[in-house]
This record gives sequence, structure tokens and C-alpha cells, in this order.
Amino acid sequence: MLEWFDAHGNVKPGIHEWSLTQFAQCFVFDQQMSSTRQEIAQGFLRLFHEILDVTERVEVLVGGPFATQQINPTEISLVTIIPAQHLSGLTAPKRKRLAGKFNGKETAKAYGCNSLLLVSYDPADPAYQAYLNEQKLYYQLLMYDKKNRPQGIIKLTIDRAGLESAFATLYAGGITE
Amino acid sequence: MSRPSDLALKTLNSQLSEVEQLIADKQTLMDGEPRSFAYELSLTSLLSLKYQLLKEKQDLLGELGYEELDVRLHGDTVATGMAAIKTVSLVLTTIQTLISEIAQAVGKGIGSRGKLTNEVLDTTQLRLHQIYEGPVGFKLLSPKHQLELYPQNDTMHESLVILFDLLDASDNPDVILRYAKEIGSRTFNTLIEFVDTLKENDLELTLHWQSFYKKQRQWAGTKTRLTELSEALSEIEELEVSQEELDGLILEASAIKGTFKFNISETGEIIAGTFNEAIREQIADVYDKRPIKGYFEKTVLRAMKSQKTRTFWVLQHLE
Repeated sequence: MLEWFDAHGNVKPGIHEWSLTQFAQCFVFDQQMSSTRQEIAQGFLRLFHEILDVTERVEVLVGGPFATQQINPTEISLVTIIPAQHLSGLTAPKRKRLAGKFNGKETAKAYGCNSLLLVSYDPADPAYQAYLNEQKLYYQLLMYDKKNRPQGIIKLTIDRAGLESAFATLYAGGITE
Repeated sequence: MSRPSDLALKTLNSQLSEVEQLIADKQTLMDGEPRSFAYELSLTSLLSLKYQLLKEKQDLLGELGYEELDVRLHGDTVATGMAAIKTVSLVLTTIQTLISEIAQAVGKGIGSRGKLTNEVLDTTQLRLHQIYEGPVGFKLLSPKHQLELYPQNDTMHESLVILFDLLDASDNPDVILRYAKEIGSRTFNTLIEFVDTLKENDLELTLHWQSFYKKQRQWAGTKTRLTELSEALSEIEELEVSQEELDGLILEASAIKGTFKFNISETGEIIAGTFNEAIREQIADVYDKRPIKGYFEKTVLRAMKSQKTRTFWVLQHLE
């Protein structure tokens, strides 16, 4: 595990595509001294249970203090990427389900996840250029820590089966929805 | 060598500029597709990010923020660089009254009578910060306050938006009609008095507003514009006030803004308006789910010159 981190305890710079199992192992189960990580993970699971009710699979960029060796981080920083076509034609209850899930610090109060949204578009879409600009900003925000030191970004692909398998121990203890 | 906080501040400022540009781009896209849920959700996320960055900046600077208002007087009566205290106090007091009354109307509902609440006075009371020489002018500051996630929830900020919208509306009866009902007749009359005060004292006035939320607006009240504004404000008339019972479905509802869209079953017409605070929970329960019977107050206002009308709906209660 140590080979993934630099001298400051940050994941080494770059975009790292990890499996959910690797992510859960590294930032939750291998950090047994932490008194906050399991609780944040519970919030993460609740958040994605609700998001995955609307769209079956999402890509997520993870950064912030949770994705470091900090013992007791207070939140996890996330940018969830959802293709625009997955959001069109949603019923009102599904729209309601997604509301409030990507409101940054407000979402952190309920789920421990400082969660933001990047809607992706195809090159032919009029919103494509705006999407690229937005993507660039989110990457820039996640690739440095609060002291402006480089920090790697973890890229995850999340579906419900993957969540249940990677966090099986937490599921055994019960996930409150 | 720069201090770490200088670097952090520079980085934050640059990120704030970028996120503001992204918000503007998103709003332009939304103009072409106003009902896009993807745009709406994405815009909310960007606004949350902007708030987060502003908050970080505020924490870094260790300061609360305030709205800055520069008032400059022009005209023969102040050409020597001096102004009569009576005139100055009248202008400044009327600006203060206008902002407080708009705040009360926006936050507490329209009241043509009644005292301004302490809460409104506390949040809107301007302070004289600086006096300018030639042209005579004043820098006024709002009370210092915390950032709100949505600027429209910031009473002082929202009141200034409405004030500037109205001042800019001399050739736009739609805007005047929209706000005439929202701010109520008392505030509307204060605005007319404000314009008349300037005209009677042979004054022109420039207002410049620098917002805590990085917004800037300026209004140049030249004699021509004051006359146009005075005429535009004076020609609004109330055509009809009635109570209506309508069956239909609430299509959209915003708890933050207190607004709704309602599809009338009988005609298929979609009306939009505001709802009373007391039925907020009820609306959340029925919205987009089941037909209701709504009890509305309907007001129709008309701008006499252009003959444009605007209808206002207030949903008072529902079954």
C-alpha cells in the first residue's frame, strides 16, 4: 500500500483507475486507526445507493483528504460523471432522488461526501465545449491538496454489485438508507 | 517570494473566475433549453462549487463580506463640491428606505402598511464608510455577513438586484410590471418619491454597486433617464383583483423561491406565480403527483402607455 503514497501521505500524482475493492481496502479497511473513515464510507455507500437508483453505473473522480493517509479525514471529495443522456426523460421521483446529491458542502453534511457533478456530452452536442472546460476545472481542483501540493486522483467505476462486493464487511454490519 | 497565502489567494481567484465563466456558459445553454434537468443539476453543482471557493477565500482573508454602494451626486446644486445637508440626507435616507422596504417585501411578503421588522433593519442598514469630493459622493456599506449558498437567499443582495433592475427599467414595462406586484405599492411609491426628490433638487445621480458575490452594477440617473423612469413608474395601473378556484396539477415548485407552475385541468393553460409560506409542506407533498383544487388570488396590472398587462397568481391554499 505504501508504494501508492508520496512523502506527504498523498496518492502519487496522476489519474489512477482503481477497482472499488482496491479503493475500499486502501482507504477504509487498511486504515484501522481511523475513527472517521468507516463512517464516511457509510455515507458514500448511502449516496451511491441513491444515485444508482437513477443511473446504473457512474464514473467517479475521488480526491480530498479521504484519498490520503490522513488518519481522521472529515470528508471525501467526489466528482461524479454522468452522461447527459442518462439524465433526460427522468420521472419526477427520480429527479427528486438526485436533487441535493451534488451540492458540495451541503451534500457533505448529509453523506460525508463533498459531492459535485460533471455531466458529460458527445462531441456533436452544443454543450460539449462547456463540458470539456468544466472537466478541466474539476481535474485541477482535485489534483492539489489544500497546501497546493500535488495529489493523485482516483478514478472509479461504480455499480451496485461492485459496491456490495467491495464493502461487504460494512454491508454485513448494515447500511442505513 | 510570495507567501503561501498569496499563492492560495491567487489560485482561488483564478478558480473563481473559471467557475463564474462556466456558470455563465451553462446559463446561456439553459436559455436555449430551459427545462433540461442535466443543465439544472449541473448548474446547481457549479453554484455549490462557487460558494465553496468563495467561502475558502473568505476564510483565508479572515473577513466577512459586505455589499458596497457608491452614490455620486451631479448637477448645478452640487457643482461647487458642496451639497446641502438637507438634500444629502433626503437622498441617502430614501435609498435606505427603498432597500429596506424591498427587503421586507421580498422576505416577508408584501405589506403596504406596517413597520419594517427589526430583522430587515438589521440586515439592510447601510453604513457611511467614505465621503468623496467633487463630484459629491458617498461609499455605503451593508452590514457584514456570511455568504449564502444562493445569492437570491441573501436579502440585502436580492434587494439591490431588484432596485437596480427597477432603476434600469425605464424603457421596459415588463420589468416594472413584474416587480410592481412583488414589492408592493408602498415600496413602489417610495421609488417614485426617490426619483421625484432627485428631479425637484435638480440632481443627477450615479449608483455603483460592488457585490460580495462579485457582481457589479451601475446606474446613471441622468435628467433624461429620471424623467423617463418617473413616467414609466407612474403609468402602472391595477386592472383587476379577484379570487379564483381552479383544479389542476402543480408541475413545478421551488421551495427556495416560493414559486410554482400550475396546469389548469379545464383549459390546459399553465400559470406561474408564488405560493404562501404556510402551504410550503403541502406543496412538496402534492407536486407532480395528484390533481388539486387551488385557491388563488389573481391580480392584473397594466402599463397604460404600452397597454402591456401582467397577471400575478398567488396560491393561497389548496385541497
